[in-house]
Amino acid sequence: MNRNRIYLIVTAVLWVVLAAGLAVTAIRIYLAGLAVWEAGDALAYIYTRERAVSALAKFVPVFCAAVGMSAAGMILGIRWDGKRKPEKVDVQSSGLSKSHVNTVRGVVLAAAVVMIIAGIVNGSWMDVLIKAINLCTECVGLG
Amino acid sequence: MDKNNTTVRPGRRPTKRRLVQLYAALLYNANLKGFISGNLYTGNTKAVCVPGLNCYSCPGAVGACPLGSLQNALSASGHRMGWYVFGILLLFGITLGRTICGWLCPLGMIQELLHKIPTPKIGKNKITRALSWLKYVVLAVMVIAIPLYYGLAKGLPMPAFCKFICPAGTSEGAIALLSNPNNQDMFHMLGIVFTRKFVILMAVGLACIFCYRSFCRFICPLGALYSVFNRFALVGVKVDESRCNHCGACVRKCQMDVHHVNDRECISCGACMNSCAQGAISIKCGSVTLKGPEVGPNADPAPVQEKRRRNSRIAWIVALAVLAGALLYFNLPGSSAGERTDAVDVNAGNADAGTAAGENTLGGSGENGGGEETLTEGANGAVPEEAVTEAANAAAPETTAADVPVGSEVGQRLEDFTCTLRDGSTFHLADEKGKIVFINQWATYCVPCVSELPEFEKLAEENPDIVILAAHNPLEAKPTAEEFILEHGWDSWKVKFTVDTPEVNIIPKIGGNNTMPRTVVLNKEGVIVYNEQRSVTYEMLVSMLKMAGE
Repeated sequence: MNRNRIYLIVTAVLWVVLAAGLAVTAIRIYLAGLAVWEAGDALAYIYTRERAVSALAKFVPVFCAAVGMSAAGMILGIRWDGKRKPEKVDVQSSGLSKSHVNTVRGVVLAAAVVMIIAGIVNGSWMDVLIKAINLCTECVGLG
Repeated sequence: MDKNNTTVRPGRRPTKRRLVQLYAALLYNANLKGFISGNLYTGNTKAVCVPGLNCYSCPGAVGACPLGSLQNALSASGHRMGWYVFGILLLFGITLGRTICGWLCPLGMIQELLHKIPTPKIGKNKITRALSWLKYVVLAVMVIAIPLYYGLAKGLPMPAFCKFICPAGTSEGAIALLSNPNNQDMFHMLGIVFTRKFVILMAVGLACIFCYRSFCRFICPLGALYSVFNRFALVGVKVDESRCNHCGACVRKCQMDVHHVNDRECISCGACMNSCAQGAISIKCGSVTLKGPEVGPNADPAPVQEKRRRNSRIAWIVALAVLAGALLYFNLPGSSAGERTDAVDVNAGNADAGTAAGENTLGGSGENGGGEETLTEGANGAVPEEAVTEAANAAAPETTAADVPVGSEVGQRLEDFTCTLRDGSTFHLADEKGKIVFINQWATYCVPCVSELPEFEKLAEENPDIVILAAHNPLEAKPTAEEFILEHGWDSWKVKFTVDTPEVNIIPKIGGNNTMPRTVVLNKEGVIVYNEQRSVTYEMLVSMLKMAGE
């Protein structure tokens, strides 16, 4: 096994440990909070900033090591160049004539313009705006 | 995994495509001051969907996410057809197709950068080709079927892809908001939804390190949608059939799961152009060549290449001028940059918090400040809720309401207001003195808001002596609050419904902003004992009631 390969595998392991560690930490924080909830404390916070920061702090060394290894690898130009097996490639055209493509393009383009105008007239553009300027907490994963 | 072959190659300069990707990411998120304030941009530009996957809940976002908008349009299709979103998606699809994925998607760029991390890589194979069909299932189920079903059958908004999967929402929306110190209250609302999405984000990020554009290839429903138009799109990679010798070098070079150039998986990145010895591949807009073969026997003539380079320079100058203009427009100090005045004042909550922290001269405020400190300590300890309760109890002093300062923080007295209820009667907060009052901020387009309101009604039915006011956001989408209430049979509820207006300003008064839902509980003296932006359950409401009664 050459040195470059070992280097790449160590870097990969660091990233796996970091991602898996963060995911497991999130689950553990959630389960600990859930236990407080189930004990009858309905208003208990599951996550707090302090709890999150202290959990993240544990991963700073792994994160630094992973970033450092990755940066060094990029600077040194160490890459994984997997040689792909020669595969049988069936390169063929889409089978559509130019006029056929142009017709479809024209029809869809016209439909798009008509729909946008209809959307402005019926006010559905306003629904997009209202949804975009307000933060629905559940939609972004806040809860 | 690919056969072990490692090489050492010098680093390269960023490609033109990378610069375009960076440009697009910056333009979509030109509201840089949002990252500092932690607030969303509320200007009219957010009515326009951007072509790439960029969460509109990102503090920097100045446009809407096409996928989020599509799901909401489908949810609301029983009331108003979302022609606008459908039209915009068709327009993007037929003009650019999956060129958007390759050139204009911030999430695509992040995936490519992650893939640059030097680790062993998984190349495309039969399994990845099979997995590339998964995104069509995600599109059909999470983006179309579930929002349609919930919208038409249950009358509820349900952006299932955003809620359960979207890593852009988790990273650009949730984590970007949480990382801002002004939004530390948002941690209180985190639970299973965040945990699940965070785990998905980690998995997607990790997958992208080892496997090129994993999310884009296997999951992204926006890519699936654009892929339908790819063969017809105006802009894209095209093959000159007269030059092509069908050697297959282009397909072998491609890291996506393509079967031939410009098929449904092709993101028009142009990586195949350099591998084509025949010079048969170019990126075109209609019949105009944007990028053609520059070396080899079939390279374009030097004058043509020079003309193309000159046009490219002009395009870059115009694009940079647009970007500079956008950055100035959205970030000039003191400028509201077209933000809507009829939206809830997004700074109201933070401003109030700042005032409360600064004004510790009166008894109520001082206790409030102490209460906040206790909250923080509780957060670190094993029993945070006891601290919350203590803080709340401490903040409900045995003083008369007149001694308590007006504000929106726990321990302060809520500013009086009068509003009109949906039945035409008037609600005057001062008249409710002697009763425990719950005020809930909601909107028909907010999933947790409409899910938790029946819990409030249950509480009202079991406790006839309390008052519950549900104040809808001033901006109403389809369905309107009144339509929603009638549709769900909530018109006979004990919960009192009103739609907030800029004149009454209930939501800014309770410290609310454009983050929903929020619940405020006042004790019998009109003093706030609970004020949080957080989804609630019936058990939580009972605890709040108990807290207010103590």
